Amino acid sequence: MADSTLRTLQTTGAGATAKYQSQEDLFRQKWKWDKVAWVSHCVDCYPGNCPFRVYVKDGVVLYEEPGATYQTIEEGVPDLNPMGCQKGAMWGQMLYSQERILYPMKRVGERGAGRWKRITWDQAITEVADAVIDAIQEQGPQSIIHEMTGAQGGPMALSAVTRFTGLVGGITMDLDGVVNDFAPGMYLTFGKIFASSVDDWFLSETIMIWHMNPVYTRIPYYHYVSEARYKGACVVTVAPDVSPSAVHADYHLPVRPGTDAALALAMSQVIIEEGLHNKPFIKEQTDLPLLVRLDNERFLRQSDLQAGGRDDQFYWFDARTKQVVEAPRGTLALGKVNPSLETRTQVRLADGTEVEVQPVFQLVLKRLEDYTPEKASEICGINPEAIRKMARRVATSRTNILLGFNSGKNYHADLMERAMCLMLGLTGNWGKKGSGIRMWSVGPWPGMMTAMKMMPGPEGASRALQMVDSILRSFKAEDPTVTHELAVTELATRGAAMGEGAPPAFFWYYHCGFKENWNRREWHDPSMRREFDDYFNEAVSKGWWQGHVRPGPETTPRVYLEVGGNTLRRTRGGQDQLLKHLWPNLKMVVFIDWRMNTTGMHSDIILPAATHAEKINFHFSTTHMNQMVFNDKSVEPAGEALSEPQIFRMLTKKVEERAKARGFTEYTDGRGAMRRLDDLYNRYTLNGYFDEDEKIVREMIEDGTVDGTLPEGTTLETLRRKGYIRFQDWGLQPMAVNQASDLKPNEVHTPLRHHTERKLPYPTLTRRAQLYIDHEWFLEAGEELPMHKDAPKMGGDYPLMLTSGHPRWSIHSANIMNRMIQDTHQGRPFMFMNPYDAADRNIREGDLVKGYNDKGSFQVWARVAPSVRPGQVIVYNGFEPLMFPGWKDPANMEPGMAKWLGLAGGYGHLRFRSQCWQPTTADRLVRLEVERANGA
Amino acid sequence: MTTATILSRDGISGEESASVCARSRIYALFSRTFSFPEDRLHLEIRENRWLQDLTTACAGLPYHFRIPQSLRWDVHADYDVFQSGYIRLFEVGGRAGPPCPLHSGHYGQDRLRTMEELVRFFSFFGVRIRAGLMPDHASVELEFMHYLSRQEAEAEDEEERLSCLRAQRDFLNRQLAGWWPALTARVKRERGGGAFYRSAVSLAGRFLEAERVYLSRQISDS
Repeated sequence: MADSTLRTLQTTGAGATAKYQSQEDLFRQKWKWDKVAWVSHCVDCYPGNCPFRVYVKDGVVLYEEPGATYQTIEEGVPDLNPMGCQKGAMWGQMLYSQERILYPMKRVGERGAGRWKRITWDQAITEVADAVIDAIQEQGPQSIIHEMTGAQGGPMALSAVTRFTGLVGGITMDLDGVVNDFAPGMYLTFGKIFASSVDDWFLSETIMIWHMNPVYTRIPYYHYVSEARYKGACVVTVAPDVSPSAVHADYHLPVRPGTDAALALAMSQVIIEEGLHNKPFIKEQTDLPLLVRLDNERFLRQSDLQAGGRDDQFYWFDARTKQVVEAPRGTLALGKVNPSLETRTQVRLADGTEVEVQPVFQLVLKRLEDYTPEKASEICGINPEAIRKMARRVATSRTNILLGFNSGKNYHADLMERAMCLMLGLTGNWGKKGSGIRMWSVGPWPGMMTAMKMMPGPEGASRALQMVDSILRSFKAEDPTVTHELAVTELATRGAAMGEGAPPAFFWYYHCGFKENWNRREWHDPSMRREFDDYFNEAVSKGWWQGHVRPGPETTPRVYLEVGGNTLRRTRGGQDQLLKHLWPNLKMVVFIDWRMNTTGMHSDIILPAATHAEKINFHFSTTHMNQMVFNDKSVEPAGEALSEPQIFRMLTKKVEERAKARGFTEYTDGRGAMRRLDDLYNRYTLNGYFDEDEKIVREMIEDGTVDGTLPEGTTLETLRRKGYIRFQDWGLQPMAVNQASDLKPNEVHTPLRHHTERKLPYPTLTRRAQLYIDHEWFLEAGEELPMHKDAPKMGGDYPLMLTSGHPRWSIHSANIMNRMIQDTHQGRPFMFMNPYDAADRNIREGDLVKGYNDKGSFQVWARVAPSVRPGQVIVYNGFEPLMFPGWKDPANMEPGMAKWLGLAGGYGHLRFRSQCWQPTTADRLVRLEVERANGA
Repeated sequence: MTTATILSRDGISGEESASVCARSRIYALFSRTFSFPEDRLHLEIRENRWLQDLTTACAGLPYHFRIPQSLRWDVHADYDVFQSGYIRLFEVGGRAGPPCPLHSGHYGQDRLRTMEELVRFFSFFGVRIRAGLMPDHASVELEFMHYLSRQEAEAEDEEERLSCLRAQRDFLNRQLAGWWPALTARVKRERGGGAFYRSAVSLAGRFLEAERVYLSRQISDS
């Protein structure tokens, strides 16, 4: 019988029949789980994709365990199981963690004062809707900003907010720009970034862990490194410190911070010097045989030789016919041509003048004269004999560089990565199993098809597919040399110039105070010949970023939508930068998350998001795994939390309602297109079809069977039964297509095999792996070929250099506030420091110290460790700013310098598309001094 | 449901039952006090009705229990400020998590295990939490004590009464009495949140301690 005095409890009428004697009786009672369901941890984690099971009783997740049910992919290669780490194993604790937000709230004090009141969902959504309409009316829809991050909500959250900003004409900042997980050197070389599946590591003979720390960050699949080693592979860790991954390596190359390019170039020098280079591979796959004019250092182009000639037709010297001939654009196959790597010759230009030309390879030889092992050793600190030994090893074995998310965060990341690519290219080390270089990549994603649909159901997917197909066919018709990959890449590039995504660099420059930082010339590389603004203005005025300079200086950002992200932790410059420059202009900061963080503390409206087992979702698809991993809803959300799709459905409905009430239903967006608000909900939900989360998920899965990414017959029930399903094709997701390999059911995934096996061209200007960039700015900087440059003195002329890396204890900041995780480390932020540096500064273990430079300062607790080299200090990523004294983390002294060459454009593949070419901000090797904090 | 409603309910007869009922009423009152404050509760506190209700219930307890004069019960007149104080103290603090969480699982090593035991307790006695709530919230645990003491008052035989008494003793010892002192200490350290909650936490702590002694004695006497 119901007990009317109960408010928080309710009677079930099903208590135990026995009388209670002692607490043991509770556990003797026959127990049946209400539900056992498949989940994953839909956070921005790239191991990730770990299928777990949750066990639910009375609406509460009480247990969670790894599924360990992945099947073996390739015979002879270990399977992925068990998959999971300490973070995943305690995700149920996260679900019920202290920082959980459970109710809509509104700020009642100053931003950041931490004073809130609960409000109803309707009030919260109405206030946000009105702020959105105000922003559109006052500044235009491009004043509504969302910085894309996959952080906390998984793909369902990401698609919910981006669909909203897309429909109202707001701007979504590009993920790779925002977090800087971009690998510019890989992109410059290959016209894309990519990653093998993790089981491919097992097939390597030499594994070079370079700018990565997989012992910390790849807990679920580090076993492939160990297993490869037991099989005979040599594991080499290149890192300035004795990183945790160095401990398990056969060799540790302790490079001086920021000198990786010198090491790679020296290894390249040895490889050529000793005749170990793979000439057939070099000739076929790279631009090294292409001819370069000696008078202007630019590639010889058809436009040089004939009036009206193409700018993207290049030449090489055929040693067989002794002729300068066109390098084919549609294939890498050499046919009967034998491109020379040596011949210097003369050609007559269209104007009748004669110029000397020679292959890029000769310029490489010249460049490498500066990087003999002895000379490079002076720079990078590695013994010349060690360099030679490693070079020989790389040249004679299947070598895989495990490049983490670290290199791209260096100012000269491009040079470091290009030098690595040169070394791999010289030795034929990509496009075959167990070799290559990896960063990250989005995998197949059927949700992309769902997002493009104009009508629901399989017919809608087929029509969307046909539409895309007809565009791709038109590209191929324009240029018969265009392959499927090139066509998809072109579509992504053109689409980006018309879409709502934008590289954040311009937003930062105009609205977040980075103009000031980036014009501090002394914080840049000395080889930057002009003022930063000269380059910036030139890039903008030449239209290299046309369609991407958004929001421009004419727009003031008004509404900031933070959905699962944490910009005040993530953005270089931190709170000092954003609270000073951006925040005062924002009239509404909306924070949608399942947990409170530093950005949430500075928000106006807090909307609680459901998380983990409370909502249906997927893990982000990655080429590491190529599995679609499912997360079922198995409990009702705690408090009043709602899923992000629910929240944005409410918001679209409310914006529509308020727009009608305010008589404002039509406007022109930043691109001059007419937008409407009076049918927003219908467009958001395809006329109400997507009115439930489960329907969206069901549709995504079924669309996957239409676009071929999922096996025919796959349904939501398949996922509910199994927890995951392996993709069978890349679909149309550009980064997935850029893998340029067939996705086979019984093989590991190795990128670039279409290039090496089917001889299909690369999506670069030269259609080859391009090691020579003859863009005028690169030539001016002397960076047409990879070289070493010291890290600039970002932040000022100080003796120490700050490095970082993903931590062992948290996925970014997701887990860092959780006490169970905090119990596994100091439970507070700390900075590793060498004992000599510490002694020089009278700093002892556990002291509170102050790090500072000309940009700013922060305080942190010292950990004195000989594993850190003198001159280096390490603060691992992920600590919440509010864990530091004064809520200030190291980001406050990071000027977030953007290398000017990142603005280069108007050149082949140097064009923006989602998660590709754009200026990014550096945070590694920032200069600082450290001293004991006052009162320490 | 208001405190007044709970307090006016009287399905229990007899002197002993009346004292049990008083205990049950106080648990219910504290359960409501530590739930998120509705504006009605704020009004009752401001108009001193909350304290009167509590004082009346205390008078019916089977043991001597006095509300110290030193405790202050004043609250800010503005409801928004009052609820903001509750949020800052118990729900969202300056370091993302609250300084004084009202979920007992946050005071132990492993919240899931805490919640499992609670769910098992509830399940044994035929109750479960309502949607959106967590089993280890102070308001839920206090209400469970309210429920058990009511069950005790309504017990049809001695065996059933003892069952309820033992459950109250164990639940109190393993849950509320275990973590409430830590909550009290944290609240004492916090400047924010206002006098009312500092007093309420302190008084509830005294009550739980008195209950612990009383229940132990009751069971040993039986």
